[in-house]
Formats: sequence, C-alpha cells, structure tokens
Amino acid sequence: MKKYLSKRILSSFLAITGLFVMVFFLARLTGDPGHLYLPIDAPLEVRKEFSEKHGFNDPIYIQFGRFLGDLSQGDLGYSLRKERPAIDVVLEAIPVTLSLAAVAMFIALLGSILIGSLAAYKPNGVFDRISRVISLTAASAPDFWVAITAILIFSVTLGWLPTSGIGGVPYWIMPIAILVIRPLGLLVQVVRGSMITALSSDFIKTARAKGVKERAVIFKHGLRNGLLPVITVAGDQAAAIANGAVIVETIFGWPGIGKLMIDSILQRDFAVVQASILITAIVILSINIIIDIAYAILDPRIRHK
Amino acid sequence: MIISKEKVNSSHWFNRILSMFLNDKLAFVSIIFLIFIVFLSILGPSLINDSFIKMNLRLRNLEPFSFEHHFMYFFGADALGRSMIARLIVATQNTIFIAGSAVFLSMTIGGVLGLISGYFGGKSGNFIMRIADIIMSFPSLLLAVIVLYMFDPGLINLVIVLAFTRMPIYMRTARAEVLEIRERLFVSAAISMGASDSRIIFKHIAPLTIPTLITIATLDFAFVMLGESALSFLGVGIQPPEVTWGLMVAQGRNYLQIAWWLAFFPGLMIMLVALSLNLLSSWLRIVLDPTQRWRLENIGDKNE
Repeated sequence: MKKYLSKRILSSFLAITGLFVMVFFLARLTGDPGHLYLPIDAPLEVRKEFSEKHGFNDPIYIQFGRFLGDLSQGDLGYSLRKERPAIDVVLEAIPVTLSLAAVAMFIALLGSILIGSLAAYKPNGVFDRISRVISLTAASAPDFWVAITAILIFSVTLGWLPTSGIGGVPYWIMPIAILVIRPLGLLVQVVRGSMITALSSDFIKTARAKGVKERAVIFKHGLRNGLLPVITVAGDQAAAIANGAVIVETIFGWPGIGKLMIDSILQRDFAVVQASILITAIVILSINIIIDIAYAILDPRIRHK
Repeated sequence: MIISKEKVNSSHWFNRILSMFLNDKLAFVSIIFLIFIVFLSILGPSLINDSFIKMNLRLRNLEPFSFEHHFMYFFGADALGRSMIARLIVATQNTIFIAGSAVFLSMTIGGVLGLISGYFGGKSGNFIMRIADIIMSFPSLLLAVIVLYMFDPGLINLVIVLAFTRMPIYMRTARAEVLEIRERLFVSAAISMGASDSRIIFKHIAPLTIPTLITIATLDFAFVMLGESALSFLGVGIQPPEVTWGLMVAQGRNYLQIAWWLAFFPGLMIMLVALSLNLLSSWLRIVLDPTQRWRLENIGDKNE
C-alpha cells in the first residue's frame, strides 16, 4: 500500500509538472500584456519600460528559467491586474470555491447514495423508473442554462432569492443547487448499478438467511460493498465540479477560483493564471490521493496488498 | 455485432433489434427524436433558405406560441426579429457537426493510442497513459478556455480542443480491453501463424473493442455537446454570426427579463438531445451485454 501511494504521489507530481510547463508556454502565446495594461496611446519608451520591468521582452526560455528560480523560493509572481503577489490573490479565492464544492459534493453523494440504493432495491420497479428518468435528465442539463432559468424564476419573477453576489444562506441556495445537479444525476446511476451487483451477491443472501434486518442488509452489508465504485467516480467528479464552478461563479459573481481564472486569462494576467492552475491541480490531485486512501480503508483486500 | 451468435433464432435480425427497442419505450422515443435531429441538421438549413438571417424589425422579441404570423415565428423571434425556428435549425447543424466531429476524432485517435499502448505495453505504453492522466487531472473547461483564447475561437479549433480533452476516456477503455483480449487464444493463434503486429491489432483485436467504444461515444456525445455549449456560453466557443445552441443561450441571457424564450428553447434542445443520448446509451449497454440482453428480448415468450 505504501509503495502504491508513493508511486501515486510521484506520478501526480509529474502530472503537475507537465501541466505547468504546458500552461506557462500557452499563456505566453496569448499576446503582449502591454497592450491591455497601458493606455492605447502610450509612447514606445513607456511600453519598453513596462516590458522590461516585468521581463516580457526576454526570450521565452529565459523567462521560464527565471520563473523556475522564483518558484523554488515559493514566489509565484506578481499579479498585474491586482498589483499584489499572485499567490495571495489565489489563496483568497480558493476557500470560496472549496466551500462551494464541498457542500455541493456532500449533498450530491448523500442524495445519490439514498436515491440509488432505494432504486437498486427493486430494479425496474416504479421508484427505479422514476429515478432513472429524473437522474438522467439531471445529468443531461446544461448547468449554465439551468442557472439562468433559475435566476429568471426565483429571482426575477418570484423575488425569493438574490440574483448574484455572496452573503448569507439565500445567496448559497442557487449556486449549490446548480452545482449539485449534474454530479447527482451521474452518481445516482453509478450507485444504482453497483448496488444492484452488491445486493445480488451471496453474502447478502447469507445475511438475510441469518435474519439480519432488511435496513441493515441494504445500508450495512450492501452499501459498504456497493460504495467502492462510487468513490472512484466521485474522484473524477472533483475535476467536473471545478468545471461547474467556473460556470456557476461566472453567472452568480462569486469571487472563487473559477471566475478568477477566467478573468485572468481574458486579461493576460499570467502570474495569476499559473498560480491558480498550480493550486487547483494540487487540490484535485490531493483529493484523488485521499480517495485512494479511503478506498483502502473501505476495502481490506486492497489494504493488505 | 448484436446478432452474430444467435443464427438459430428464426426471426430476422432487424426484427429482433426492433423488438428490443419496443421493449424499452424511452429508448424508442429517444432514437426517433435523435433521427429527427440528425435529419434536421443535414437537411434543415437547405429547407429554410435564408430566413435565419432575415430580419423583421417589426417582429422584434415576438412572443412564442402565437398563430398570427408565419409558422416560422411559432417559437417567437429574437432581438433582431429573426425567426427562432430558423435559428434553432441552423444551430442544430453547427452543434451536431461540432460535437460529432469532436467525438469521432477523439474516439479514433484515443482508441488507436489505447490499442497501441495496451498491445505493446512497456515504457511507451505507460508514457501514453501518463499523458492521459495529465489531461484527466485538470478541469477540461479551463484548459479549453486557455487554448481557445490563444488560438482564436473558431470551428476547427473548437473541434480539436474538445476532441483533445475527451481522448483519455477512449485511451483508457481501449487499453483495458486490449490487455484482456491480448491473452485470448485466437491472438496467440494469430501470433503463431506469423501475423504482423499491425494485422493483429487492427484485424483481430480492434473489432472486439468497437462495441464498448461506441457505447462510450454515445454518452460522450452528450458530454461534448454540453462542453461546447459551455464554451460558447463563456464567449470562447463559436463566434457570431455563426450560431450554436450554447451561443443562443448566451445571447438570450441579456434579454432574460423581457424575452425568456430566447435562452429557454436552445437550452431545452441541448437538454433533450443529451437526455436522448443518455437513454440510448443505457439501452445500448444492456443490448451489448449478453448477460443482460434477455431483459429486452421477447418478454412475452419465456421459453427461450
């Protein structure tokens, strides 16, 4: 297990490095930030000075070398847009997205386990059929469309919820709901599938034969075994939720990492783009490693390997 | 692929597939709807001529479901008085074309890479899978935004970016399948008869992986379509005057309070097509799985 984990951490590290190199060069190709940050009639000297000050006129490999040197000292560069160290800007945005994603993921997991297990209890029963159509619809819904339709209904027409911004509970309801919809739809399908397999296993028959209560059969014997594939898929959903966060944060004006990245890309704020990609990649890969560990805890067969 | 084994059965293979469809009503409705959409995307634009750019300023933001005007205005008109129906049809063609080519590209390239990686294994095989890991470990939407912003958004780039971000799925699946198929007897037989590597991969192994890849592609089509819409919605996808459903939602967003139908109908189309694909794919999974297929076959006739 230890050997597996260290291998996993090493390959995650390689993945981050690869991603990072790619993004560094891609971001540099988007054009000269001077065009955006200086007035349109700025004289040539001013432009030169700007480029020199931020090192944009050096050959790209020298920029890359300098960037690696700074990185080794924990310096991720300076945000042109906010005129602050990039890492501060990113670390400010991360908690917003993480809290949003954590609440959404928690609701999606809890809901899908409940609905999926109930659907798996009687495959092709009435509840199963209804939950199949609803969950597939949820998995097919374009989140941005659901978001603006929800704004139209609940904010504009009914006036129950605020259209955008952050604040108390009412501000959380729509973003969370939008973020939950697709993962929930997908996870219900996964839970249902793996629970059907688990509930038709021999150990379930044994449990029933020795007179275990039905609820314990489903949630204790069945769920623990049916949960394993679900955890794997939930890991893939971490990246998907980040995708959803981009949309939700843009529409609802949340100052999270998704909105920050989109804004920084559009304004050629390289340092922030790089810093946020690095941090996001680290978060996603750590979640995946944590999931591996959870897997091992739940499944003794892996733990003892 | 579905009918190969059971030649003993009296009925024609077409009837068998039809009856499997009729036994799953939702899948049946989905396939009819999808055929309609494909028909619309191929023939639609030529049927409506130029009415998708024809502006009629007197009908600006015309409300839907009124019979007073031409039937082309049944779903209302947009802010420039262009018929919603005509625009939806043209958007259908673009959306289906973009998603279709992206899925086809990623399935072929990803599938071949997965086959090679699985068959040869070793260092190069592992290297290919590490690339897949890198692509998977990052939110595809953000990578796409960066790349599209850099290379100018446009049809071709959009297709390439979408294909690229979806490739890992096919690579992983094809590889997993090959690892299992490679050990089977007929592959050893082919090797012992001196068949070349490429012959073994493409003639003996590849055909067996295709059903799985197609099932994934059906599901992926919905995913790619949602991705394309999201990119167009963020403004880095297809650019006006071209139009896709995602872009129509984005454009309609500004008129949300005065003309809800501008954003509502294109979004509904996205959802209905994605839903149909999901239903079809879950039907396909049952049909292609011999241990589950009986659920859909001759439900009335239990003797079989």
